[in-house]
Amino acid sequence: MRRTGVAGGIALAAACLLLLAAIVGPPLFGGAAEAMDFDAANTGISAGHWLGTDSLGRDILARTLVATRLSLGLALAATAITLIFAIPLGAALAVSGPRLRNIGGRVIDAWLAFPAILLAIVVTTIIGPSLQGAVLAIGIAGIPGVARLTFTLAASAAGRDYVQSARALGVRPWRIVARHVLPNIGDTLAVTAATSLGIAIVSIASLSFLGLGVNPPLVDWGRMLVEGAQAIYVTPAAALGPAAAIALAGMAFGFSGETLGTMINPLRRRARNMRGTAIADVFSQVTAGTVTDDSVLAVEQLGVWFPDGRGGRLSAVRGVDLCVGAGEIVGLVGESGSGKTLTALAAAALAPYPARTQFRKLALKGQEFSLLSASDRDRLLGTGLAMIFQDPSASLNPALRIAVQMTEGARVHRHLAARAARILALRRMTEVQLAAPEHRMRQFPHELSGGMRQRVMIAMGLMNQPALILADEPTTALDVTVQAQILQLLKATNAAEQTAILLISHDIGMISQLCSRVLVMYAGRVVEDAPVAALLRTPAHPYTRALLAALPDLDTDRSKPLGTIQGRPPPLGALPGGCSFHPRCPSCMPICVEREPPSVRMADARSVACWLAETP
Amino acid sequence: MGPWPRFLLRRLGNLAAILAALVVVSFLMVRLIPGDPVRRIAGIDATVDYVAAARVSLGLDRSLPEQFFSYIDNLAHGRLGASFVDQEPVTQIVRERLPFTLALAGASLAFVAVFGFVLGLACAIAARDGRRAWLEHSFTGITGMAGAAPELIAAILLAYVFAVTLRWLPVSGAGSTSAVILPALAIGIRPALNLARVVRVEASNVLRSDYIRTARSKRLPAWLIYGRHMAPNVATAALTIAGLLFPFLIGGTVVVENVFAWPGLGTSVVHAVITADYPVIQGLVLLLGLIVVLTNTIVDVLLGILDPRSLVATE
Repeated sequence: MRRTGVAGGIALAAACLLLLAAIVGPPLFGGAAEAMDFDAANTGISAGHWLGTDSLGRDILARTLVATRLSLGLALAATAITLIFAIPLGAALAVSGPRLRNIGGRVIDAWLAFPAILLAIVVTTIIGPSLQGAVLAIGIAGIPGVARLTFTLAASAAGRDYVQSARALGVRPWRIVARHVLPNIGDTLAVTAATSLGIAIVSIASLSFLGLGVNPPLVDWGRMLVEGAQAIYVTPAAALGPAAAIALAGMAFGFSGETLGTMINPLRRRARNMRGTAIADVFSQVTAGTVTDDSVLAVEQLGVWFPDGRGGRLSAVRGVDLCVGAGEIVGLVGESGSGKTLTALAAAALAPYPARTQFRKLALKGQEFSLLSASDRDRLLGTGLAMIFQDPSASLNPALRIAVQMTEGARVHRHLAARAARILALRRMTEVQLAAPEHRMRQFPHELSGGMRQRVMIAMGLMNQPALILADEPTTALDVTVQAQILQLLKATNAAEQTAILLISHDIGMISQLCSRVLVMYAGRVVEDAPVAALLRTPAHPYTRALLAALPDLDTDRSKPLGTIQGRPPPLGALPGGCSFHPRCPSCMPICVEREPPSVRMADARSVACWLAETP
Repeated sequence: MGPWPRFLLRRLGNLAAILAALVVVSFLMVRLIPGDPVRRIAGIDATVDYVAAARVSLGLDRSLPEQFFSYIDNLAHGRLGASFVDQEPVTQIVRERLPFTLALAGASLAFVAVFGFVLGLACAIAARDGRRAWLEHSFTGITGMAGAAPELIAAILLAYVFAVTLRWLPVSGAGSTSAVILPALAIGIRPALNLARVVRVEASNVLRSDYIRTARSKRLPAWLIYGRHMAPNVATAALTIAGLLFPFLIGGTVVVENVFAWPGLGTSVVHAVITADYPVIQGLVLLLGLIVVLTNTIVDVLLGILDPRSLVATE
């Protein structure tokens, strides 16, 4: 909005000035434009002649201003021809039957693929090189583009629910177009009209320049350019004046279109007011959690924040302690927006820009990140850690064969030869029970099913024998039957290779089946970290309790509604004071509103961040 | 039937339909001229005998279907007729001038492809995920402004700056190899900047995609992430746009050849229109159209090779 505001305003003002020149130009400057002064022929820029004179000593500026009327008039006529034919054509195709629509679409596409100038040559040949020929040629040449746009817009407008229901009620097609379709696309068509005008100005000038449009004694800018170009060595200004006028007019009308559209339909303005208020970080209150040294992944006091654009911070992850032991499967659970994915990405040094990461300790296989060089860290992460993402169809590169994607990590980090990497890839694919691995290697991702793609992702992750797999909602995008298979595969991999897994999910049921320990996240903090049995038996944090209550099992009384958690998780940058969960907490106490509870280590290898745990 | 035969069959069908339309249009073009085209060529003061002779030589004395079949027959045998003005066979004109037009279009296409692709990719990489917001804004602004400058204006300005003021390059003709630079730039600058804009947007989207995150999670070096994982996915979109831009390049040659007096088909066809030299117009329109259609088909096939999904996507 800011940019279109300024540029669009200037363009609109320029367009208005040009229209004014078209109206008052001939009466005001007509005399000056025709006054010949042979003594002052072909002079350059001077005080008397701001753009110099032509070979007959006529003032270029005055001639350019006078020529505005004809140049704009012809362009307007051509644009009118374009719009009168193109809009009904596009709209009619949009509401016509599929067969006609298909054929019409193809004809328009083929027409569109032809250079406008060729079309103009055909039209000019028929009509003869003349003013009328140029207008008709440029008008016709503009039709396919505008018709295509109208067709696309109208087809999408006609696809909306209320138009569909009007059609189901038996409203005639032309009525649908007039009533429902055209008003909805009017603003975009206004933009197109202005843009077409800009193109028409330039195109007609080009035709005149070639001698296929305006011919003497009439002059438009294109015709003036011919004379100017002939004299370009003597008086360059004679060419630059009309050239500037053409470029200016083309741009002015082209750019003012967007502004016009915004004025017609205020919805085109994109409101981008989504910034909340920043909150202070609360690291000082939090005590140390459970980090042991023999762990595969050790994270202490991890924080991820985004700059809010005004020098402040929006904290998305705060004071997270996370530890995954060798061969362990740890679950990370929470609602969307709780910071669980960001925690995993930050632990893999993949937090997306502009996120900033800070930590007291971040170590993989006992190697502290902050002590490693960038290339050593990449090597460590490239071989020690594998990531599996939610949507396997989006996570594999559509343009590369599976073989390339499988082998490249091992080739880069372990310098395996192509053959060795290939053999390893085939072995890994067999291990994840992919049938016909040789064949799969030659395929592209789109040729595989969703389940197969996720198996490829897992096999790919295993190529470098990682110590840890970060699996971020690995089954959410898959069919229910495939989900179980993929979880089974992860579990088998863990058992066979002693690969530790950090499993991220919103599904506490799935997590509790697979994991030995579970961390529950809420609003960027770990609120409870407990062995799975203890967590299921006696959840300590009210949020964990609420999550478990929302989970149906075989003993659930189906006559009662399932438990739900009142309210919504707080948005980033608008955390409530005190404990972030207190507005939704059934056991909220006065202290919960005032102070954020520290994470407290309990007797049963559990940590809880809740005032209830301190004062039972 | 596999996707490739089906795809090729459909493309060939399209190609045949468009070529047929092209032949019909080029045939009807002369017959649709209001009044008497022969009179228009011959001039008002030509004798009746001369007009009659010209009518016979044009074949306009026969019935429309007869004319059409002899037109097709001539085309099938590569006979495009001869110029009214100087009796030079159209095939001779094509043989002399086509190489110049192809050289010019090729030079500008190379410029468009390299400059547009590199500029767009570089900007997308430098401004990925919202880094350096100023860069993105100024890029969009500059390419938007300069991308709106028509070939005609670009040609005049380039001639003024490099040929007239700096005297680095020749202003007209095709006397030296360097003479191709200015016309090629004049044709290519607008498509190149438009391509750069599309490439930047496309590359920015690719850089935000999950598979780039996967590539990053493998800790591949930057050249592999951008060269292997990003560029091919942008190339599909870039090639689609380049295919759409090619007609503009051919159209651009017609205008720009006339500014720089380039001895190609463009100067020839415009001259033919002004002198009402119908056989030349017919032949050259047919040829230029053929070039456009063939290029579009080639681009589609290339797209199919680059991105196998496009084979079925267009069904």
